[in-house]
Amino acid sequence: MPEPLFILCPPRSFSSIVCGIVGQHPQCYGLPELNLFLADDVRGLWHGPMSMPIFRDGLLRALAELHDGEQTDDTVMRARAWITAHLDWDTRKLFDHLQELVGPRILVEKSPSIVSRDDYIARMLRIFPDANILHLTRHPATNGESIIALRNRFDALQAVARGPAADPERMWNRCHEVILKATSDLPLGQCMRIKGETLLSDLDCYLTQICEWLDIDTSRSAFDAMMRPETSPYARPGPKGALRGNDPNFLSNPAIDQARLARINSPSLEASVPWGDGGILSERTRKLAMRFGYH
Amino acid sequence: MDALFEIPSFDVIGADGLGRQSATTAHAMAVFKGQLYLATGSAVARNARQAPRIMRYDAAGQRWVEVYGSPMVAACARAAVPDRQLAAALGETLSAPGRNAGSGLGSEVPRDTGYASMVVFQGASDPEPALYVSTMSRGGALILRSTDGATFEPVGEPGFGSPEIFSFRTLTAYKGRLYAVPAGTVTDEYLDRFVAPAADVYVTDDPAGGVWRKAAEPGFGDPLNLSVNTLCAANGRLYAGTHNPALGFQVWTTEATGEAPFTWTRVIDEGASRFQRNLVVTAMAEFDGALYVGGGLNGPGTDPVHDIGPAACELIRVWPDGRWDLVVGEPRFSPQGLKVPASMTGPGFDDFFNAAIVSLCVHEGALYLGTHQWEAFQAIENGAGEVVGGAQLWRSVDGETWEIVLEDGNGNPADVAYPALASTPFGLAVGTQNQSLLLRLAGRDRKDTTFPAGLSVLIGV
Repeated sequence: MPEPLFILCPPRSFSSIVCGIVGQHPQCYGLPELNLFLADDVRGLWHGPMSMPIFRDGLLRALAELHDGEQTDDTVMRARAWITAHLDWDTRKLFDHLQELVGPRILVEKSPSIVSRDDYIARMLRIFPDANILHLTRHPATNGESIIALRNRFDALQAVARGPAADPERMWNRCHEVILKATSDLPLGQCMRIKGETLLSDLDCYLTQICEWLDIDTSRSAFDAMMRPETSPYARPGPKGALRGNDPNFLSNPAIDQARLARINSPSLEASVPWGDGGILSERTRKLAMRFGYH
Repeated sequence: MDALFEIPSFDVIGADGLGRQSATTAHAMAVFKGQLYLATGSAVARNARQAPRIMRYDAAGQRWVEVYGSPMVAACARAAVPDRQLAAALGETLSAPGRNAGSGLGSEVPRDTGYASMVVFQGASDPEPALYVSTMSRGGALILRSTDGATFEPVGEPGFGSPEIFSFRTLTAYKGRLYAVPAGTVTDEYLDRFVAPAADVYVTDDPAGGVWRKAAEPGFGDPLNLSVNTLCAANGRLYAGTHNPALGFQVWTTEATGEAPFTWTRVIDEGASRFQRNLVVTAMAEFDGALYVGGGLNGPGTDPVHDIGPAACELIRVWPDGRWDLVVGEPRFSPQGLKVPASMTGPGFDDFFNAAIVSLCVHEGALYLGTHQWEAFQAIENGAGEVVGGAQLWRSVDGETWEIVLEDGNGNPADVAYPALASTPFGLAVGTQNQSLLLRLAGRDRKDTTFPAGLSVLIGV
């Protein structure tokens, strides 16, 4: 079976649309957010970090889709029962099960939770030491702005966004530092970094390169398939009991919106940020952002 | 088996700074009238005994002869201003080794702290090819000219009229004209050895006349280019590499038709899609139909002024049509397609401590490159049991397969770089940069940080 592709980035860094796009390649299978690397086994996951429903939806939807060929209230219920019956499986076994159901296609997954802690990403690399890793970046100011906007739309997110850890700039730093630390010693080419703004501004150019890197078909038909992320079975809200499993904005508007992509901008790193007291990004943030190609 | 004998065997033909341990760096070498000339530089040049020199190698007698020494001049405020890189890396105290130059104002100090570049060129006023040498001077960089290799005279004004220009890093001949790029800024407040007052390229067809014109608009129109660091004539074109801390180096090219300023075209930007970790183009050379571009960080492993790094260097290959390949470095996506290192070797030739490719030179059908390798400093900082590291010399006959020729500073970890390479009738000449003084300061609590001091010169045959 091929090695999976994990897209690593902080929340709100274009990972949903990128995962949706790459996941539609005929040789790939785009998954919802599985959050599988937060524990060593299914029991630890289900009754630990995944006890928050928002973290369960992706796995429930994936199991419903892959076991029963559709996501309905009933199939999600069956997926939940299946999980309860397999609490003794370890994380790798669960992932292998998904891979077996999908067949010889590259599983494409992105769970921002993986990069929230060193041990999560370390677990991912311990379980999949040869996985392909796409490190996706987004300008820290627009990333923070997007996080704030999303919280303002959803009371549930607003409610949990408390304390210094919820500061979007701090999240941006932490996630990227966790990624850099974990990937710095990987073999040449195992982890590739790209600015989300760059990728989305020229999909023709960069999707081809991603396919070359993954050693998969670069033909026009493969490209055309990738340009339809909305055809993913996970590109709409799920049924009752597993509504989400992905970014809410993506779920409500999963198609590639060229006009929206054209509006993506990268302000100066010296500009004031549109949250908090309106100060500028810290020196630490600016240094890291410049390393990624922002200025 | 034969291939083993193609790799030169090196002999040391000069050590200990050629009798002056303050001579820490071999900045440049050139062959003029069949003899090898060496431009030296001093980290500390406070008095006549520490003055930098231009040396000539007497191959028959196997000895070095001084052909020029910096004249002494009255010390001015600029003689003791702190070095920005050292100040950022080590603090103000250690950053102005010339602060106590002589006994202050009124005393005499060497006019020059080194000689940065050398080229043999015949200008409009030259009856025959002359040797031109650029100085590193706190009173403003000069161009020295010699027609006999024994006497040198300044031609033109300090800094071409801008005395805050500390040096001219590259003198390059192209299509009958001589080009120069300013390197470093000196003011009454500070010295920056790398960043020029403006990212200019100068041109003249008569350096002896001392009249230079700007060959491009500043920074090629991009204010993020702080300096033009390197020039190289290749494949019938002139190339320029920049220093850009915001987004990484750029490479520009021109055919220099008509009158200056010329029309330039950008062939690489954003540090070849590696951004600021490819801060500056540090060396270029034409080899086998392509331009090889060495980049990296030109500070002591990092750029402490712009807070970049540490990061290891990369080697890029530019074809005449503007396409470029990654030869050594980090795989990545780019506007020109997926870039995977042709050598299958990562940044720094898989050595994290190779911060820059400081020299490139073609010799007997092979391309050689010298690195700046700063592991010795890290070893001291980490409290390692042994201080290891030192410059490396690499060689390739096809531009893609590289083999190491010299490593670990040839046995002296204080020889951190090979900034000067020259193909000579005697063999490949390699000049070192020696940081024994800084290593001793960094490791003053240790007993094993006294290394041979002063630059060395090796010949590979």
